[in-house]
Amino acid sequence: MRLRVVSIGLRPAAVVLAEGRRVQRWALHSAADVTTASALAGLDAVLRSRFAEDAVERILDSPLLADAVAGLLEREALWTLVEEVAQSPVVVAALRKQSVGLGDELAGEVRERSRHADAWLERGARRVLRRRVEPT
Amino acid sequence: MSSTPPPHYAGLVTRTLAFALDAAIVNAVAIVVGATISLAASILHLPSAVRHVAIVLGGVALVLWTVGYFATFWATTGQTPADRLMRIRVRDGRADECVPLLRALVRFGGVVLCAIPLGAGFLPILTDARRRGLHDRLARTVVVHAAEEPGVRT
Repeated sequence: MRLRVVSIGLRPAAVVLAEGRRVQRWALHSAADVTTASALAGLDAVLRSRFAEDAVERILDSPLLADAVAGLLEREALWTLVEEVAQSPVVVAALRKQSVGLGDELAGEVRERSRHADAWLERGARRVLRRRVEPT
Repeated sequence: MSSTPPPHYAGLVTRTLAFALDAAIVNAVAIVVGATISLAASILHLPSAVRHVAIVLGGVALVLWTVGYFATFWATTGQTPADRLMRIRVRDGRADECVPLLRALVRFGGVVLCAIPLGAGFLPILTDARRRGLHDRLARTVVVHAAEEPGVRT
């Protein structure tokens, strides 16, 4: 270590400065990693605790969330994204398929009920006329 | 020897629904076309005599359109758009084929005749073994469930 310090000290000042910055970046990244890991561990602990539901409710009730959502809705980028997704061929095809499926289902239901009504009406007619009709 | 099971004939309710839907289509088209022509004619300031002739021609066109709609579909595919939706088909009473145009016209005439006595001409559909009305007997046609042909019954 002493040899390394000595060798660095012998380099030009610019190299020393660069080395200092690199160390600084490393220190910042390390600190960020440690902080993030601690925050996640804290979140895990909160979610596991019996106060988890209270914590979630408080977050949901807080004006911060409402403000955040309102702010998000005001952003032009969000609506551009929504428009892009809505116009994508996959979404359009899925919507079309669903509409056709719904129409088919409705028509099938009408057909089924009308056939039942056919049979019901003919039974009634047969009763009125007291006449045997061959089933069709 | 294989025998083809009899087709499943369409009943009065199914056929009435299909006919009502067809009537709605025919009327909707007639109203849109009539309204467009009336609107166009309203800015031309036609003389009274010409207007009367136009009204008569419009009436004739309406009759032709109505008869043509049903007769053409019955003679070509055996299915009007509403028949297609209800999955029923008009066909020859003896063979599994569409009726010629003349018989389709006779059938339409039969429909009008059936309707005149408050629809009494359609009542035989309820009692006939092949669910035929007076118009079916006149044109020698039957109405079958298209999706179940040939001979698949539910």
